[in-house]
Amino acid sequence: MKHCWAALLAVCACATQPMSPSAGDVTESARWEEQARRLDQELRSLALAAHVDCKQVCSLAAAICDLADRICLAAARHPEAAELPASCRDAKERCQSGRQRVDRVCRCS
Amino acid sequence: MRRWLALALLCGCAASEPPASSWIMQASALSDRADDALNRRDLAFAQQELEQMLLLVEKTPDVAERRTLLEDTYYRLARVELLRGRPTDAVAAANEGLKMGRERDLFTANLLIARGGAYEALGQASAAVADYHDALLVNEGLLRQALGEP
Repeated sequence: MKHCWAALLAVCACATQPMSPSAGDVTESARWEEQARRLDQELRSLALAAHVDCKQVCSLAAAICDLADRICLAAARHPEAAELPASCRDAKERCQSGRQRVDRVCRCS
Repeated sequence: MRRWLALALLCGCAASEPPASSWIMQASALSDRADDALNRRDLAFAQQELEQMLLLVEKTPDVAERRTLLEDTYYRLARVELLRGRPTDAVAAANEGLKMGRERDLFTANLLIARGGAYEALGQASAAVADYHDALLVNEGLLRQALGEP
């Protein structure tokens, strides 16, 4: 048991040993991390896509953007209504955000 | 058969009691005739059929089932009123539907969109945008749910 603890401590000590990597190491490491992050994202998207009803989510995203268009059209037609441009901006952002989230998992026509 | 029968059957299946097939078939036939009339642009006949549907659906004992079926019928009535160039009546029909209870579902969203369109026709842009925005939020909630987001 004593040996096990000693080995574990030695491993931890090695793992926490301060190192001074070269600039090349740092770049390489950052590149691998970025790739790992991208692959992880892709994997999550694939896993999500397997459970998502693309027809439904595409239709919902389209409905959001259609409503954003209607809001912005009404805002353009009625410049006297001061609060409408803010509603238009908000709706556009929601449309864009919805589209981006859907694009990660589905290909909408 | 058409979407209304599917909707009615879906509600019937969700309810604890088995669906009463006679009224579903009757309502579905009215719904089909209303759709046909709409396609022929016979708006008066479409309205007549939808009003008959309301009478039938109002007798549905299950509260949730009644709400969705009434909301769908009022939504279609509001559209017919709008097509007939009667936006005030369209607002009234949409209001009747929304009185059944606002939920975060497509039935409520459809009513808000129909009412928004009627407000636009009446030149009430702020009210129209408020309804469109509420409908957008309902759709956004449904999208979040469909994407499995928290």
